[in-house]
Amino acid sequence: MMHQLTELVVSDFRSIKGTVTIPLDAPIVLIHGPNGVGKTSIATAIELALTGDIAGLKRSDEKVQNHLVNRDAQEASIALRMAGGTRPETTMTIRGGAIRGMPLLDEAGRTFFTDRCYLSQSTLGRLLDIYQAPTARDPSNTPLTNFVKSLLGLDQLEALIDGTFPAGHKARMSKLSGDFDRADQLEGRLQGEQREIDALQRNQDAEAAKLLSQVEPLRSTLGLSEDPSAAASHLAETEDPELLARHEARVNNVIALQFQWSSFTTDEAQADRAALELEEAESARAVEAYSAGPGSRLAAAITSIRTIFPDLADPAQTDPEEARAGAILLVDREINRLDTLLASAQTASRSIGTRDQSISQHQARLKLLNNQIADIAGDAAGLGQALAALLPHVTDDICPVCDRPFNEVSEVSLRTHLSEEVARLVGQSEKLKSLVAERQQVQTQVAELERGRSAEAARVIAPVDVTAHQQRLAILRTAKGELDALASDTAEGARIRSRHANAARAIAQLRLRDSTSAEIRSTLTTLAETIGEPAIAGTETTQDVLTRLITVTEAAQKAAIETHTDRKIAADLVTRLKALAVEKAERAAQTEVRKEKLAQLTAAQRTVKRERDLASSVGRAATEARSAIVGRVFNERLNAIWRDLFVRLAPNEPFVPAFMLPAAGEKTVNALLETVHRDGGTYGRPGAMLSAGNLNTAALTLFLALHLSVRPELPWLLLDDPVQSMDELHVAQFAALLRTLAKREHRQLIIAIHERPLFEYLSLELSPAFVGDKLITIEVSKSPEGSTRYKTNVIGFEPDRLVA
Amino acid sequence: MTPLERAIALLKDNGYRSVQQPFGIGSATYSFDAVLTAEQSLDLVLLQDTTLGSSERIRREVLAFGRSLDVLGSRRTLTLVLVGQPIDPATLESLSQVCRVLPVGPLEAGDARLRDWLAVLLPLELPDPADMQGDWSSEVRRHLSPDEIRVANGYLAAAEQGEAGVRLELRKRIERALSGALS
Repeated sequence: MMHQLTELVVSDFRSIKGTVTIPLDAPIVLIHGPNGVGKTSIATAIELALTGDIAGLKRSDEKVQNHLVNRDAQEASIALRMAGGTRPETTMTIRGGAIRGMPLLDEAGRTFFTDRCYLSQSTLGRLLDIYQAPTARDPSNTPLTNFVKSLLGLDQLEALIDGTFPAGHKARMSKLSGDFDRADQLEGRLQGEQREIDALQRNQDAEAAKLLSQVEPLRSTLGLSEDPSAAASHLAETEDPELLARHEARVNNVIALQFQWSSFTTDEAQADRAALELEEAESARAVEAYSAGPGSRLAAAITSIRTIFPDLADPAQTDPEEARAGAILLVDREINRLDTLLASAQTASRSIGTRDQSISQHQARLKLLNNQIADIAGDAAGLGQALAALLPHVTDDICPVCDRPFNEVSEVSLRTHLSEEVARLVGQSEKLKSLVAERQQVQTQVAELERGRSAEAARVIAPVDVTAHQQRLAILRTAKGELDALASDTAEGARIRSRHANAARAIAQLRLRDSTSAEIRSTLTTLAETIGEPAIAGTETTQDVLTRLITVTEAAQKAAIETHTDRKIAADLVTRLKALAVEKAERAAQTEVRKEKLAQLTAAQRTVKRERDLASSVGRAATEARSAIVGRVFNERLNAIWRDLFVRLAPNEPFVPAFMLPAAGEKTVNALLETVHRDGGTYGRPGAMLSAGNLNTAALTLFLALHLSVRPELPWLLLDDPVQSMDELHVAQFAALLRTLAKREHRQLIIAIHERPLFEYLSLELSPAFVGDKLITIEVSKSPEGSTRYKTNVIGFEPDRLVA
Repeated sequence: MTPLERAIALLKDNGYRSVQQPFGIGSATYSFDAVLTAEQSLDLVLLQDTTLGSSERIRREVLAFGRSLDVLGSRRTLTLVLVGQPIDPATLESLSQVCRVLPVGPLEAGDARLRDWLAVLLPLELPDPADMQGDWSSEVRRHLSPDEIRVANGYLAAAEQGEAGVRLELRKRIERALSGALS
């Protein structure tokens, strides 16, 4: 069921004083009244009851909400009834600036009503400006543009266009997708790596070529394979770490032999061998002669005394003169000793007799002295001293020892007795002392005599021994005589022996040289064999051989050193070549992996490219679709409707207002206005091209066109004095248009009009034309006291008097 | 077809029908080149070719007819369509006092001009809003190749989620393409 407003009851709202009940239950409601009686108040009351707000009034006065209640009342109320809506009615009350009550429309309905259904009086004149005024800082954000955009339903298309926009830009893609960025970077990195590796490989290839050219000459000399690995292992296998040492040892050996040889051949090398041998033979014979003659005599002489001197040197073994001199020295010394010994024994025997006589005399005297001393017994001296010590203590006759008077025993006083006794005792002591001293002296003499006797007794030799000594002396003296006799012979013998020794030594040296020379030659022969030199000919001198072998071994050493150096260089080259080959192989493997990865990545990038192309295509298609839709909407819808409406009201105006078609490819759609000549061609904006009346017509028709361009959520048109400055021609056309809207397009029209003729004209023009059609007219006025009066007229259908 | 006939044909194509003539109202009888009306309408559309006859006669006739209707108490509204020679502004002004005058003129510019003048009598040609809202996705498909359409559905679906949805779709596709190469 269509929404239809059915009744409005307004009390004390703005210009309305008292209560006004307005029936709205008709397709067309015409409200008439002079200005100021409350037509706009009625329209505003409907707006307030539907939306809870008074947007139309607020456009001209922000504080209007405080003045909604009639100045003669405290509270205003509005009741609105509606058929076909979710709620049948509402009542709003206004007190002070506060509006209470629940408006009839929901949020979407309120917006639709405000924007598409209600054309307030204050709005019409500025409608074009309002439509084109930016609502925000964005100059393209105008109500008209917003309307067009919502009308176009371009959200999805713009989502496609904007959403696929990054596809055409690498940087935006990177920002959109981390993976894209990563893939891009990875590809760059892999390519960069590959480039670096390729460059490195080129360098190494060049190096390898250079190394190969260096190793080439060595390869033939060293017999190396072309394959570096084989060559390296060949070098390693044939490596002889001791080769150089061996060569050096060989050279040193030969040089040492040369040295040895040279040292032999320098001193007395040319000595006369025959002379030497003759000398040796002669001296040997002389030695022999000597040994048989004086030598044997000397030996016999020395042998004769060997029992006495077992340590004597053998003259056959040592220098005979030395042996003879040593023997003589010993013999002399022994003879001297034996002679002294015998003489001393003889003297001692004589002295012992005299000494024994003296000892007897002294012992007799000693016996006498001992007797005298025994006579003087005791210790006279000690007692005397003790008694003398007592003297000072004897003052009277009382004995200090026994305390008895001395006179009991003697008439002599004690003191006198004591002094006499002391004197006697002292005299005895002196005599004893001299006796003892004498005895001491005699004893000493006896001891001395006995000591001398025993010493002499020791010197005495037993007669047996004397004989032995004498026999020995005889032997010694015989030997000495012989030794002395041999003095000159022995000296000659020593000289002969020395001569023979020298000759023998020289001969020995000669022989030694002969053997060493043979050894050297033998060594050289072996060496020549070892090093593969021609054998030594018998005619070749040792020196020649040495010279030859030194040359050869030194040359061999030099060659060995050169070969060694070559091998070392070749080994280094081959090692490097091998390393290069290994690196190349490794790098090739890595390159393989990298290339595979790159290929994978490139394939993925191709897919990405396809996706991007697709996204771009989608974006482009969306742009084209938008252009198509925009073109269609602008041309077939907005401009067609607007033109239709405008032409109806201003059929003789050649310039028709129109929406400017957005240029193709423009990113955003802006609703801009222009004028189009009926015969073609676009011109300036409506404001510049149209007269004031036609500009109003343009605004009014734009409002209606916008209303008609959308689904009629609310099929109402509430127009507050829409024809204030229309000329009559337009008014007539407008009436026809209103009729079309009401009868054919089924819009409920509520129109406030202040002009009486127009009201009457419209009342006639909009009269019910068929059964069920209805027109309501309301005439509002003020009573003299200021309260609102009104007259409603509900006109039904009556068959017309003129049948046609 | 004369301009008058074309005007008649246009109106008849839009729901008008001819009315029996002449009209006899009281003692008077009125006759015009053509009179049309429509159902559920009180309109009387008088069509007159100004090429023939005098404009003064037309003026008198129309004024008299209007007066007769008033006297009769009819609520019918008159629309006078003048085809042919333009008539002088004073006459037009006089005529527009009693009826809606549509001076179509000589019609040299063809049908467009005729239609513009008669538009107010014709129904509005409003496109179906549902049609106009348009199927944006088929519009997009129309601009894509068949190959592209097969793979673009994801984007069309994502467009309902707005720009972010489309971007997400693009990202998902890119990342799916790269998933093998980056792992």
